[in-house]
Parts: sequence; C-alpha cells; structure tokens
Amino acid sequence: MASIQKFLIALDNSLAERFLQPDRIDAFIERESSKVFQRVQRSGLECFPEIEREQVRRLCQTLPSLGNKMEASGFHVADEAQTDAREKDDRRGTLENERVLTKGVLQYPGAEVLLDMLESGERGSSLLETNMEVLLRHVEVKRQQALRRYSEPLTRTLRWRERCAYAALFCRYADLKKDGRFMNAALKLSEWLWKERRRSIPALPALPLLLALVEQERILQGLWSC
Amino acid sequence: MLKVLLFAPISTSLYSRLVLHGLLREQGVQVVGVAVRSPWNMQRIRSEWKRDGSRLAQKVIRKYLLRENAFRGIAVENLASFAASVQLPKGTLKELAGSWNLPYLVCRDLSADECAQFVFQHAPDVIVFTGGGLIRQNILQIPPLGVLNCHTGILPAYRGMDVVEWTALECAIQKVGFGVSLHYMDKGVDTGPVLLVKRFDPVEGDTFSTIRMRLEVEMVRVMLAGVRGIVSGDLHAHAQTPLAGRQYFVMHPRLKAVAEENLKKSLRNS
Repeated sequence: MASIQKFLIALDNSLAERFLQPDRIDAFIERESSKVFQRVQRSGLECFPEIEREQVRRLCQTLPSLGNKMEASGFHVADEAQTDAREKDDRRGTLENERVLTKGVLQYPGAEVLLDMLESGERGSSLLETNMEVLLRHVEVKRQQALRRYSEPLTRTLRWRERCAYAALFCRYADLKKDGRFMNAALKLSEWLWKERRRSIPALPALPLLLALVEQERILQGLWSC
Repeated sequence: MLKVLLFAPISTSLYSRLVLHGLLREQGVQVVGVAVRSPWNMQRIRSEWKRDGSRLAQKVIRKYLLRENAFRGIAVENLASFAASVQLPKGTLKELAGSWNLPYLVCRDLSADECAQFVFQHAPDVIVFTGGGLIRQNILQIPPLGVLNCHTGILPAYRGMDVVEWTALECAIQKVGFGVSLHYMDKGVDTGPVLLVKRFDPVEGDTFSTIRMRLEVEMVRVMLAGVRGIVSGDLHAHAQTPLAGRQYFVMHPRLKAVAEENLKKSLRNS
C-alpha cells in the first residue's frame, strides 16, 4: 500500500504543466524572421502578397525591441502605404451592429477591424472594450473551438491569418490596458496555433504566427513584474 | 432549524467531508441530504480536461486516489491535518452520510433533473456547495435562501479561476490580499451577494501551493461560520457591484512563473 502511495505521489509531482517553451519560440522567431528578411533583401517587399506587406512592415518595427539581430543587418522597410482610411471603413462596415461575435459566430474580418481601432484614436472606445471582453470570455470558454466559426466561408489560409491576427490583437490590447487576462488568452491562442501549424499539411504560412509571437514576446518582456 | 443540503464534486472530497462533518455538529442545523456528482461521466471528463489539461490528472491522483495521503509530510496547516484535528472519520462522503442515515444521491450533473427532483423532495433552506461544476438556474431558484459557495479569493475584486496567482501577478497582494469569500451563487461566476470575507496573511517562504493549502482549511471554517451566522441571524449578504471586480481564467504557466516571482518579492518586502 505504501509503495502504491509513493508511486502516486511521484507521479503527481511529475505531472508538471506542459507548455510551449520560450526557447522554442525564440528559435522559431529567429529562423522565420531570417527567412522573411532574406526574401525581402533578395526580391523586395513587392514579392509578398499584398495582404502580407503590412505584416512585414509591422515585423520590422517590432523585432528590434526583442534584440533580434535583424536590427544590426541594416534591413529596413520604408514605413509607407499603411492601409488607407477608406479601406478601414469598408472593413468596419462588414461588422453587424459593430459586434465581432454574434451568437458564437465571428464576423470577418473582425480581428483586422479591432486592430485598426487599436491603431487609430479609438483605443479607449467602449466599442473596443465591449468587443474585447466578449472575445476574451469566448476564447477562454470555447478554447480551441473559439475561432473556428466565421460569418462567411473562408479559405484555410484566410482563416489561419485571421486567427493569428486575433492572437496579435489580444497581445496588443493586453499591452494597452496593462491587463494580464488578455496576455493570458494570447499565450493560449498562440500555443494552439503553434500546434495546429505543426500538424498542417501543406504547411500554413509562417508569417502571421511569427508576427503574433513577436508581439507576444515583446509585451511579455518585464511588463508584469511588480 | 436551518435545513441544509450538501453538494459535492466527488465522494472522496476531503473538503466536502469536512464541511459535512462540521454541519452535522452545528446547533440549529439539520442536514437533509447529500448530492454528489459522478466522476464517471464522459461529458464531465471531457470538459474538465479541456479546462484543466494535465492538472486534471493531478486532481484525480490527489483527490480521488491519495486523499489525505496527498498531504503526507507537509508542515503547513492543510485539510488532512485539519481533518485529524477534528477527528474526521476515514472513508467516503457516502459512508459519512450513511452513518447519519442521510439521503444520498449520485448524479451525472448537479443541475440535472434527477438532482433538481432530489432537492425539491428534501426542501432545504439553503444548499451548501463544495464543488461539482456550474449550477444552473433550475437549482439556484429552489432553496429559499440560495446556494452558498466559498471562493478562494477576495470578492468582488477577484472572481473566477486561479485568483491567488492573479492577485500576485497584478501586484495586488498588499492592496487586495489573499483570502476566501463566502457568497450566494447566482447565474454569473462568483458574482452573487457576499456574506463573509476572510483575509489571510502569507508569511515568508509561502508558495502558491502552501497558500492554497491554508486557504482550503479557511474555506471549511468560513463555510461553517457562514451557516452559523445565517442560523443566528448575524450575517447578512451584500450585493456585489458588477464593475467592482473582474472574472479571471486559468493562468498560463508562463504568467504563473511571473506571479511566483512577484509573490516572492512581496513576501521579502513585507
């Protein structure tokens, strides 16, 4: 009996929570960002699909804060051609009643609309706050199933991009509000996305996840210590 | 006489057994039944696995298999040492209820129809909830006083899961503190009217694990003190302001590591 108890106690102690280790994230960031920059240096930003150009720009702005060696390489992408205001208005118009989540279904492109709001002067708007609180609860309750249902049929890649955009959105909102609950959800989201990409055949594009992870690691640096 | 019915998550729960043991000895209290959620339910296993991941395996080992033995060799006050001090009989909740001839129900879900029928039949004034998942409106509305729950955090500030860790992460150990709160359940998560809040001062060397162990003992004491207060009429519930707190969720291990550092810092500086 005593030996069974000892075995159970040892088993209990060995069941540490498993999670995506920071060194694996660092290695991914290093590897994938290097690929992106080599490609830009070789063929220019134009070689990326239009949908990815803004992400590459964002990556260039964010990576130096992680001390990534790309900063030293002299790599630079002109800070130009941000999405124009009309395009943002069009995106926002797609939201029914300005709600990103309706009866468990996500409006597309909800993540992009909320990211636009974060980057514009609407950071404190109740609309943003309301949507983010609803999304937080949705992600925490539905977990891996949370970002699967959209208001319109999306290709596999578009759906992937949108889900990665949600992970980045949660990071940036956590940073803005200094609210760890959103960082917590972002960490879970990025881990689910990581696992999904590893299983995917053919591989899902790395750039959207790369951007989300770079945002995550940037914001995690020292933000939460007292 | 206050008629009380106990809800429990599993028949081996030490917390539930201690609360029942205490209730059976309270003046002016009549325990009218015990309802326990069955652990052998795929829906329950699936939803708890989704929420807790590997922590579920730890819960099963500690609460179902090891029980009091999970605390062996631990120096801080814990449920097992408390059980020994109050001479809690060995065995399960079923055996404890059986020795007092209490009606006992094992059900798939504590909000299931069979459980609602059981509650109707025994007509308690209050249900004492010691775990077992969400309770739906069909049950919440039956007892005239309501359903009592003891939460391991300070209400209204910290609602939901892992709030000991969240208090540390948000540097609120001095400002809000650790503790337990006794409240009536409503349809929200830890949003119902609060009866009693007991604060707890951590000491140097405390970890989340030792704090939780001591809070679990406080939960038993506060639950019994709450029932006593209801019987004597000394305790009155106060509604929570919705915006006075936030709901927290299971904390990711990376944030938990930061929270642990914050706890150590706070204990060193206090």
